[in-house]
Amino acid sequence: MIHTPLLQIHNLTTIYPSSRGPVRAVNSVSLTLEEGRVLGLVGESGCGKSTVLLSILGLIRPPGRVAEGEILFRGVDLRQMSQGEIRAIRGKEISMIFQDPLSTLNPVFKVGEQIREALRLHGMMNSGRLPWPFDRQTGRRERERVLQVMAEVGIPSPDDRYAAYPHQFSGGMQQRALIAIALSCNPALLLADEPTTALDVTIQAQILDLMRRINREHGTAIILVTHDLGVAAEFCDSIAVMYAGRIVEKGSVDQVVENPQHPYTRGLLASRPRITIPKEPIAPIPGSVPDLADLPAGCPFSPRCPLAQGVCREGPVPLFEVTPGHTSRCLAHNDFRRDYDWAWTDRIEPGHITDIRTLIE
Amino acid sequence: MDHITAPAGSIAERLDEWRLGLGLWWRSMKEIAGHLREHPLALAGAIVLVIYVVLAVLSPYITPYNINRGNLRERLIPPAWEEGGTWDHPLGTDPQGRDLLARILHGGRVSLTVGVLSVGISALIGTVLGALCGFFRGWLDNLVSRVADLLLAFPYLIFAIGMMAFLGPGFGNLIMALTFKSWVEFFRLVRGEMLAQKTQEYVEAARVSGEGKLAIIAREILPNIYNSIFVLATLRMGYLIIMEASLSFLGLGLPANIPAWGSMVSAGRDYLLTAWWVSTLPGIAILILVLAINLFGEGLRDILDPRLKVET
Amino acid sequence: MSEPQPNGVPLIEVRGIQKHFPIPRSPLAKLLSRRGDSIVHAVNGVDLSIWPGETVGLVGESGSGKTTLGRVMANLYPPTAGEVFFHGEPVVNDMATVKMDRSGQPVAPKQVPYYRLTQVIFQNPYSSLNPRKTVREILSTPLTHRGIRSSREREEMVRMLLESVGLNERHAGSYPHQFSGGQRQRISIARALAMHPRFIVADEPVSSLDVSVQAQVINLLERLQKEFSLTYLIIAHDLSVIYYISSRVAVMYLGKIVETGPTLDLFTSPLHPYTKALLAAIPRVRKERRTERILLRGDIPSPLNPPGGCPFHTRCQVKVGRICEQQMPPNFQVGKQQVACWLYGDPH
Repeated sequence: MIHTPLLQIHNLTTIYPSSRGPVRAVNSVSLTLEEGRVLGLVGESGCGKSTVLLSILGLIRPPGRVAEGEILFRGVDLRQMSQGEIRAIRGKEISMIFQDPLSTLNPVFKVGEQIREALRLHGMMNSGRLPWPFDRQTGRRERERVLQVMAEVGIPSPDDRYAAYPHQFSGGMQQRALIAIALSCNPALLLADEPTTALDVTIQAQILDLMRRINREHGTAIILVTHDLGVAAEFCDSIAVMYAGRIVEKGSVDQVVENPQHPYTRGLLASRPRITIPKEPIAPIPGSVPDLADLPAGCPFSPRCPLAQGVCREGPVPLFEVTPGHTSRCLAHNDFRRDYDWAWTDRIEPGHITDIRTLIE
Repeated sequence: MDHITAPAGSIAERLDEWRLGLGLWWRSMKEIAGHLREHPLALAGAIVLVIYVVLAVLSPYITPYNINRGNLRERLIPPAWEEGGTWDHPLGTDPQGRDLLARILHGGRVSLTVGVLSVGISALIGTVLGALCGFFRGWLDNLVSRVADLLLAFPYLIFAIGMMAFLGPGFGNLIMALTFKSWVEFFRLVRGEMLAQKTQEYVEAARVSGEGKLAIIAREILPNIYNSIFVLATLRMGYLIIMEASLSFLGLGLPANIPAWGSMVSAGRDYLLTAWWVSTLPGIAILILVLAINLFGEGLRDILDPRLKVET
Repeated sequence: MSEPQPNGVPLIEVRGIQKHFPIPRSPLAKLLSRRGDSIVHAVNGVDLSIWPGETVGLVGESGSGKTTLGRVMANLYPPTAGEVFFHGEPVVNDMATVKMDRSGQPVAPKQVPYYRLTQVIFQNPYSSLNPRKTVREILSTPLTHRGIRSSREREEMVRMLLESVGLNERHAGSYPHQFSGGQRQRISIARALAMHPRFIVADEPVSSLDVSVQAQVINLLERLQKEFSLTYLIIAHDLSVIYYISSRVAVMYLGKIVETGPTLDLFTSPLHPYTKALLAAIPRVRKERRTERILLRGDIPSPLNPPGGCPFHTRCQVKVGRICEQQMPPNFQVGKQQVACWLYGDPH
């Protein structure tokens, strides 16, 4: 039997129209996620990392649209599915949690009921004998499952908290409740869009710990979208760094963090203040994140890149395989400037950029 | 760059500031005009409004007739396109033999003046009170807000009728009756905006820059609310013009020697079957003006301030 | 970075600062429940001294009161109790007494409005700049209040300010919405500099910026500190930023400062159990730098109803005993650090 990964994305392109022409929020992104693994999508605001998640679930709001690509979930293309089919998968097989829990939870319903609603929607606990309102047993089993999930995500005294409203929860508890909703149907894949950005460090640590436990105990695969390389490095098995709608570097955590290849990844690592003794200087990336409606030709990072040369601004940059499983989208891997002075980044992080390797795209 | 060399506080410097302000104003006007193209109805409203204003200003030069003195031999002549009409009186004459076109044009003057004045005064009172109450809160806010609530509890027309009956007809009295309640809308808008804006960090930044409280209200916060006030003023104007017409219709508005559309409609009531134009034409004039103002105002709201929803 | 020694007269000092915000209840609710307004105890008795040339980092989670303390120190909020001192003299009626020049030489005491000495850089570069004003107008306001009346001089200063924060003259006529987040924060910094202050409170100056832009602003703040001999209070929740930029750190929890000390000492040997948990929670990029997590149970209690005794006792895993619940620990000196925890107290 041929092995099919849990999720495979090929050449995903998502376009939003704007007054200045179509904007490619996601530009030919390809990803593979195996069962039970954790992938980090890292990038700054507007790089398209959240749009990837929304595209997977078919939640791109018109006039935006997924223009191209395949999203294979267990080998089946989600883009070919009908609305009904995809709705059956959404929330049951693939769940999502968002950055701002308070705006995701409905303020007028009890938290417990909202978790229960997720179960009911997918008929998870139906005995099948009677339709929902008349089926006492189903109701009881649903409630039991809700309490079980609430306890699992670490909401203390679920019995009392079942009837509480979202505003009575703290930010960390709200995020736990959201995770409970996402987990209630035991999904195979959890999409987490900056789940800890709005939270304090100590609460962030709690939530990450919870998500790690879920990953280990239930084998739930996770895609974590974050701007924080530290969170991604601690939490994920592999990392994909995005810039201006494209994946610029991809590999296992060790590959990307210990041996960063793309100048942008190196820049991100170098611009992050780190707690070391003695203090190390930080090297900012000059300029600011580009406007997607007005991208330069060629490599979108070229205006900020200390290595950029004329050829970088000419055409699309291919993806190079640096070591097996570690790819980077930078012409510097080509031998045309093997002798380039890497001082800018080497002052910050050890490791050398690898010269010409397999061209895989 | 000689304006830079102007000594501090001199007239040249003042002029400079004015020029800057004017440039700003001109730029925002141009911007609005640009946006109007995307709102065809609002653009139509604006054009109609401009035509009304031009006609009102130029009315003495358009028709030669006296608005108050008629020629009884020429009474109830129908409009030119009807049988028996004549181009001497394009819109016909009224029971006293006065030229209807002249009276309608002059009525436009009256309506626009009343509208602009009453809205202007209401906006001024409402903005000043709203800004002070919203910024400082305290007893003044409590007092004014309760007065505003009280005024809102009366139906507007009945309130105005009562007031006009008490004061008697007259231009000043009419403006007073219209303004007496209309400022409340502006007050509530400005006060609410003030409460929202004053917690913004730019206000705190102005405080640490050494700005005084009144300067913060006038120079920092109010410029952010002007758009909303302008939109509300436009929308309120249509309403106040109708109020004025209603009062005039009831004979409680302006003195009889001033031709107002409302009183013209009222005067033609008895002739509706024999001479429909006497009432109908001023009525249409009101309808088109108010419609134009409202269309323009709503377009303006979409352009300037999509958040603002006014219940009229 | 040079580490100024905290000695001599502090530039700014706060003693016993409390700031409470009443949450007004409607008269009817008051009548029915027979209770008064509930009160948020945002800052609950804080002493903090900041010496000239220092950069003090104020760390804490949301609800710790760090922003409120910063605003009290910038004179944006009047404190409910306690006093603010400048050069050792209390600030009365928004006037401070200046006794030394920027290099620390004594000068004849002079009364100066407090806002001339203390400026604020706000967290949100979008709401802290008036959308209706050009950059020139934004920068001119503090210049005017600093006493620069001639518009030629002001124009010249605007140019210099823009250059010193990495923008240029061309930007003076633009409106805030024409700039990116990082550029706006530069404008915000230029506005603070326009007053030529001695002390700047920066409230989360980089937290709303993109990671790659944060470093630019951090480096700018550092450079300006040397250029204009400034003293900073940097409020942030991001410990790496605090570590990088501060010479001294104060950790705040639920309205109280629980630990202060020189940055290196505090980060290498944290004393307070809360500081320990906080430092262990920082996500680290490099594996070898990761320490064992100390997962705190539960959340920060509500400042509406702070627990008695040590504010941290509800989540503390190393409580000494009943005393933690009953009595607020005083500040104990341990090495160069000061810590408010009974663990370090004399058993008597």
